[in-house]
Amino acid sequence: MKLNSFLSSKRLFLLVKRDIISNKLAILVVFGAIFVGVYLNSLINIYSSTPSSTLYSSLFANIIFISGFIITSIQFKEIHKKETAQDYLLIPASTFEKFLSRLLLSTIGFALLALAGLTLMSYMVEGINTLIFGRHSIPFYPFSGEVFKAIAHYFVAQSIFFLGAIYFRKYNFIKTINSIFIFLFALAILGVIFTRIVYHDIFSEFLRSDNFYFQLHLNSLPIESDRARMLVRTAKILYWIIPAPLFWTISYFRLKETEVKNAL
Amino acid sequence: MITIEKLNFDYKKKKLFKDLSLDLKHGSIYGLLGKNGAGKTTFLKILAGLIFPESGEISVLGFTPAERNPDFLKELFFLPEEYTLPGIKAGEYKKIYAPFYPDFDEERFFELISEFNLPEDSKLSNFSYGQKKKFLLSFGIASNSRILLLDEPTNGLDIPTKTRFRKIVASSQSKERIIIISTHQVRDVEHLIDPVLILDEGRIIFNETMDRVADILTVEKVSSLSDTADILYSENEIDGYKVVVKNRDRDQNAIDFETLFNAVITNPHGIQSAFNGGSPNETK
Repeated sequence: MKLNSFLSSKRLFLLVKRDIISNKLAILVVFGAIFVGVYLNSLINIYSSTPSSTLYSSLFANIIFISGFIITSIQFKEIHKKETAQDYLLIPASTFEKFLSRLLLSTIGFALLALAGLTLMSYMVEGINTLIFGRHSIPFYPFSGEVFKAIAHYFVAQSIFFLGAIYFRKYNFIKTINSIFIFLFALAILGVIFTRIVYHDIFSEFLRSDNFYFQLHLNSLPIESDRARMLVRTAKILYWIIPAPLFWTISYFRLKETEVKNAL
Repeated sequence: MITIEKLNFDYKKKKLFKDLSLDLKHGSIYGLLGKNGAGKTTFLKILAGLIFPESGEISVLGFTPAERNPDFLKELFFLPEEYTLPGIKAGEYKKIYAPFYPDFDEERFFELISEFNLPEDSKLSNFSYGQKKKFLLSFGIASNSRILLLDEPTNGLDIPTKTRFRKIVASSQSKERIIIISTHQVRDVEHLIDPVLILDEGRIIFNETMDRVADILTVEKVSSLSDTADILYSENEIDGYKVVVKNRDRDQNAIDFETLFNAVITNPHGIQSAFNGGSPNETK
């Protein structure tokens, strides 16, 4: 396949433009709802006995995670309905371009919009508060390390919801959350079984021990601190480099395999 | 232009296409006829790359449809039977979608919109079913795509629009273009489609031009079936029978589509034999 058949900046731009125009009303509704939420939080904060100086950083994390996951979950609603799927799949653009346009919109696009939107909202809200109530919170500062860390974590977790958006036909957000819980639960069970096997001599019954317990603080784990640090570092590296590319790659192939069968 | 070799496709454990092979050339308006459930829509979707075959080779303009290559997609326009349109106006739709089709003819698009009496200032989502169909047809024709697949295009159209539809589709045909119209309403596409493809039980059981049909078959009215020999197909009428027979004298009693379709479906082997020069001894 020629590179131009796989990725063309012109077609990618056209797809992004199409998606923005098609969803402009939804974007406005979401930001309207966020504005109301931000305003209420700010009101509570200025009248709180201990006003938070990091109100907007916390709000940003909430916005990017909750709204971001919901928005990501509905990214591919078109491909789950026969009438809209055929229209979308037959747009003269490659599968990769269709995948990339939605990925860019729900990651970088959404993060930038959330940053710009919340900055603007915070100045508006605090301006209103100063005018009406004569008091205000500290407006949002979008260039802090905390904000960028939240965005980075969002990109990793978003990849799961992105796959859920392609994989599930209905109730994508709920089903993705359920899948994550089931996965984590299964992982916990495996962890318990693994621990029971490794430390079998200190368990008196299957899940009961009189002298063994877990603490989440790494320094308390019964392993040497160097080993613990190495484990943590490895886990961090794996967390940053594996899940997002893996889930995005699976999503791409899932989109490539999408068909519009009569039963859809 | 379109080559299909040994296409196999199952749907819900039912064999829909079995070793289906077909060659379609550009410059024609093919009529894909078949009973309900014969697989006409599925066939068009396979050609468009919306459904992947189980096995077999399909080449459309040299592309494999299932790959959905953008160079292939810009040369294909599929008008499905069921669709939704966004809540935007015709002009906005054109602005969003037309740039994907490099040969899009804007002038022709607005010409067709006005010919179909479509309001330009209304949102497409507020259009009636027939209006939506006319809108998409206008867009498809103006896209200048070399492959135009129309699935039941006359469903939902009123009688004057059906006539206009035939006129517009006929005038949109070019030497480079191939139009496939799938329908079970055979009368609606009479005098428009040529050649005729009839799909039945997973196979193309008939693929002939109308000139050849007129050369080989003719329709006669008889009062009794015993009056005529070698009847390929007969239909009861008030004053006797309408029969399809081999055209031995090269008469020009053109056979209508409905009768042809019924004859092929009822007696496929007899009709096939007549076209292959044999004697229609499998008459029903």
